[in-house]
Amino acid sequence: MGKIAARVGRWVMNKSAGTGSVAILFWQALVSFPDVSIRETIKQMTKLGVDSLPIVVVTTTAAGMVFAVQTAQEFAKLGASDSVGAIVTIAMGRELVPILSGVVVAGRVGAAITAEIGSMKVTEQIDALRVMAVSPAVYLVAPRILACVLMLPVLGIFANVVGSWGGYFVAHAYAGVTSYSYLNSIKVFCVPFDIVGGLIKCMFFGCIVATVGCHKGLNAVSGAEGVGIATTGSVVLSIIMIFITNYFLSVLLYV
Amino acid sequence: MSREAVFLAERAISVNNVQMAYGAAKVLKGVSLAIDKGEVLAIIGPSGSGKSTLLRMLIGLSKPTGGSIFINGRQVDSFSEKEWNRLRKSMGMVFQYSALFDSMTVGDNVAFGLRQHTDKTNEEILSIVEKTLETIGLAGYSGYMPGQLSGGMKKRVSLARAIATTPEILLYDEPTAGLDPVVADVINNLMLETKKRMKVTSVLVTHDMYSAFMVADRIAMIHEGLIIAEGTPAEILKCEHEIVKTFIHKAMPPGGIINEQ
Repeated sequence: MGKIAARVGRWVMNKSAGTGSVAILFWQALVSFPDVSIRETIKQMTKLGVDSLPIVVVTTTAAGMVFAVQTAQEFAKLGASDSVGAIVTIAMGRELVPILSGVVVAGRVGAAITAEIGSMKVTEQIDALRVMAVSPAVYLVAPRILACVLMLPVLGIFANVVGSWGGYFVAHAYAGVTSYSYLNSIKVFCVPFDIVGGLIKCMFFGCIVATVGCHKGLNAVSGAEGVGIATTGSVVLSIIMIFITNYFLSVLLYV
Repeated sequence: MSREAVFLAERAISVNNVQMAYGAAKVLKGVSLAIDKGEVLAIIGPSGSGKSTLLRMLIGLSKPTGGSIFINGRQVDSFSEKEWNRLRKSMGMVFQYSALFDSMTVGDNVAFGLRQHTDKTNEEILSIVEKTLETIGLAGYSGYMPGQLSGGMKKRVSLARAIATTPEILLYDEPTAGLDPVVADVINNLMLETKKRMKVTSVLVTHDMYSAFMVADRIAMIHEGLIIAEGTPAEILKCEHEIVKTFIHKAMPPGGIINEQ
């Protein structure tokens, strides 16, 4: 019994220390924003943001289409096919776009950040930065956090547009919803905050992906295997944190 | 402060009874060393003896668990990262595996410190980079990526990156490890040239005896976390300590070499 309690205690301590060190890294990056290189940030915005556009567009279009498949026919049976546009747009704007963009970016960008910084760590490049009096928090972490926080909402805007369009095509094909009816329901039932709230969530998720990605990379150990473990851990932790944060943000923004 | 501590504080680098432990494992058990300005000290010893740990402490990459370290008279073992960063601008380090930034060209690697910490124009920086690359025999390699270079070339670029900012103190971590004798000799000659040209205080950690005896003014041998011998290359060669004798004679090339400069 004592051994189990000790093991649980150790696990809690380790996890708390891990969360604390992520928070410290985020704080170090936050206070170094005034010193951050704009050139490096723009480079990261291209690498982490623009290059993620195709995969985000594909996944959110598919999500909009699937959501419309499930709702359009059922709504048509209830005589409420006029509301399909609003339902798809609200669901996409408030939840599906931020969550899907966050998860996709965690898989693509978070993994890339951890693998890159982890490789730098195990090949002593992080030590080389420190030896040259350059803080990894300023040079590596801050530009990546800024890039993700700025680019995820931009990806979210594209995702909302294509998701809604995907929804329309499917609703039109399966339930005969007209473009006028689809757009009119959006106009009547949706408010700008349905989209804006989702974009705010995207900013938080971008911050989570970049901070966790950098933290896991900076703490990678034991060569290639360590980088692999750190990369997997980064994606898993980012996704868990995105889902948990999403609940609280939904309550905060929409309840 | 004791007279001994005051004496140590007046040297370029002085290490006073430094200890380092990872949990129960004691890597350094009380090491004391002093290095004069412009002097090259080689720290030799078998793998796992704590020499790289000691080197990392001299530039703030590791923190000792006991003892004190002075650099240019200032006690640095309790420095914050910010204070270290101020001091590191006058220091350079050549890493065992070069640690070149692999996303940057050779030129950008060498220019990195200058771009980060000086107000020099891009033209001035490029001129320094070209001159430094020429010094290490890699003129024209500025546009190459580290991945396109051999191990020896990477070590030379690592040296170029370290000396581009004209540091007062240079640390070498196993600079010839993993290189063939011919390339290792090129690195040894570059270290000798750097010592003569820049009069830079240097600490060389190596288990390559040829390198230590060729480049160093003084040699200290570390074994199981303690300094067991210290002196000029000639004194170390004559040392009667059994472990030192065995280590040196097993590692020494036939005929041996002593730095006669």
